[in-house]
Amino acid sequence: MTQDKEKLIAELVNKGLDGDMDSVNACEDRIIRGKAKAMIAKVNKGTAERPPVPGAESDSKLKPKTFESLSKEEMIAALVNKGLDGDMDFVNACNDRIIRGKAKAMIAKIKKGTAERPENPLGLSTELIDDKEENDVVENIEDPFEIIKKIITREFSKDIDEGSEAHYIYFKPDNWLEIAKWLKSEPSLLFNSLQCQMGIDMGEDTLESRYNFHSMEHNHYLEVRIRVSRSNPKIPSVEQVWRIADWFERETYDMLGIEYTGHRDLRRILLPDDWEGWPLRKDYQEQETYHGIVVPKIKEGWD
Amino acid sequence: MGLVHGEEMVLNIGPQHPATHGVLRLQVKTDGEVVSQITPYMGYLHRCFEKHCENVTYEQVIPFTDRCDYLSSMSMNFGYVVAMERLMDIKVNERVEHIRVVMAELQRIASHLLCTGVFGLDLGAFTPFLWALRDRERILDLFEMTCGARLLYNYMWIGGLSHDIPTGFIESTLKFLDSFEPNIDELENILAHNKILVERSADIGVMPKDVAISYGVTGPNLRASGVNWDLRKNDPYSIYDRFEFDIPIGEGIKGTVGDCWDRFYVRILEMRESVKIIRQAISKMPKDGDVHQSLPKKIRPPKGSVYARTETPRGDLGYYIESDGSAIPYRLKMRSPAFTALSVMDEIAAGWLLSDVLAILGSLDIVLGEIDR
Repeated sequence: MTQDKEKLIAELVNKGLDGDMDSVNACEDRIIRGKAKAMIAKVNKGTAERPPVPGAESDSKLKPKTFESLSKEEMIAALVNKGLDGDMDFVNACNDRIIRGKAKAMIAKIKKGTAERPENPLGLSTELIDDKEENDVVENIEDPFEIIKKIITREFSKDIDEGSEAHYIYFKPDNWLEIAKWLKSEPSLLFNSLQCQMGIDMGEDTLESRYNFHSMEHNHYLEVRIRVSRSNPKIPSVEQVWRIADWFERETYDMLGIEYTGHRDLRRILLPDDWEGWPLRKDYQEQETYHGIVVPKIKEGWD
Repeated sequence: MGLVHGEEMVLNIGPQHPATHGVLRLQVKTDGEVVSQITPYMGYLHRCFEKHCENVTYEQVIPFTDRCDYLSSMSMNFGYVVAMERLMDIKVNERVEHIRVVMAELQRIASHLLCTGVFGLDLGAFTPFLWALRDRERILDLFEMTCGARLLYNYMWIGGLSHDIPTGFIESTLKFLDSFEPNIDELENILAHNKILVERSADIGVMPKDVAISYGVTGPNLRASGVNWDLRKNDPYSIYDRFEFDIPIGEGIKGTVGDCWDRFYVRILEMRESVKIIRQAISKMPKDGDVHQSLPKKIRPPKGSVYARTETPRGDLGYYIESDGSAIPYRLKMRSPAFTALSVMDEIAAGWLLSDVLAILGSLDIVLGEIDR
């Protein structure tokens, strides 16, 4: 839907709410009329907020807020903040069962450490969240990877391991978590999305963990590789930097037995918990039996 | 005063439950009717895809990719051949590219039809499901006409296709599109603006932008959260840069941006865009060109690795292929879009009612074959 339509609907809704239903009915576009009416019904029922009158937006945003005037999301955030500050009575006093339940679930999550404390909508912060300009692409680069590499070398030259080539960088495992945080937050890199994480057995004594990053802001790519030895396969977990790493690392642990230190929930993900061995290592030997079931060994006709 | 808790109950949804869309077990902790924690357990459908790939030749991997996401096999084939062709630096001819795009977009429509239909079914609307399957059936007929299979096609091969399109395929496809376009409106009218469905899905399971990106959620689910990101536009592969189409994103028409309704509605809009792409691809398709590229009998890609992504109906499908120069992949990793979509469940579904969990799960459009691999 275009901006114009949205404005039109907002205008109609405001007219309708002020009692002028005739001008709503006079609208010729069936869809816009329908949407406006649906919204009026919602506002009357209390499940939606009255949209700002187009053109007068700036006024409404400066008004001081009370708890009742907040949207559902903000109510929950406000309750969570109250609850975390010790005022659980305020949370329990909330009449809406669903909002109360959600706020409580969130408080539990924050205490567990899996969620972040939301901003208090009743606080002083009236600043508006702006959408980031996404067209901020670095232009006129011949090989973007060379530039990325230069930026990284400037900052972490000690942690780069040998073997880095055309499109990937080897890091030493020790400092990986710190580098990961930096990769995500450094303004010239902003690798906000972890595309893929995988493990690979490179033979001899080496296991590798590989990460494919992509930055949605700058639209550039990076592949990071980390070598560990088979005898001590430990790599710091980046699960708290990119949340998706949680399951990716669990899968790599499941298949190759690389331990991600600091991972909060490192268990097997695809195989049963009592499976023995790491199937994607090249020296993997199938177990003889699994819960009394004989594992077949003959692979006739495979070659 | 501490937290007031009712008695907590642990509830298992699945492994065999019609609303889990496959063999998935959701361990749900509930306080009354409100869900406080969800732990998905998967692996029931694990068929050792990646282990198998290390034992078969590069061509023999293609039938396995079919079986990963069995609802969009064409797209799975497509992703793999794109990765292989990038690794081997092969350029396929124009006719093949156009046919691939037609197939992939037909597959997208078929997959979205199933998803929207089943989403309605999850929320109790039975009729739209039959309508959606009726149209999907006709797409499957088109596929059957092309390669003989209705579900697992093994159609796209490295450097080409298994068969050229048969006589009459173009006419049948155009006929299908003509009759299908009004059906999208019909489906939209009965589902998207249906009061019950809106009440069950609008404002529910909201996935904010930053959560979606951090959890690696892609495809329609990411776009529903208001992120304008589609690989077909942002990182074009094959010949997608030649077509004109829009990327629908979630706007929160019925509720909040990124709610279940948005995720569902984006798919309906995407079907219209796919129709546009198919029409353009058909009109531009060259008349001649061999669909079997002359490749050596045993494919041996050069030493090295590649990570290639394509946009399947469920999101970014990535293949990471490590080659050691032999005819067998050294390591092949599939980064499946549904895997990442499922991982966000606990984040967005905790705090909602139990009945909403099923709506959220349905709106994420997961396929367990692809999660377990």
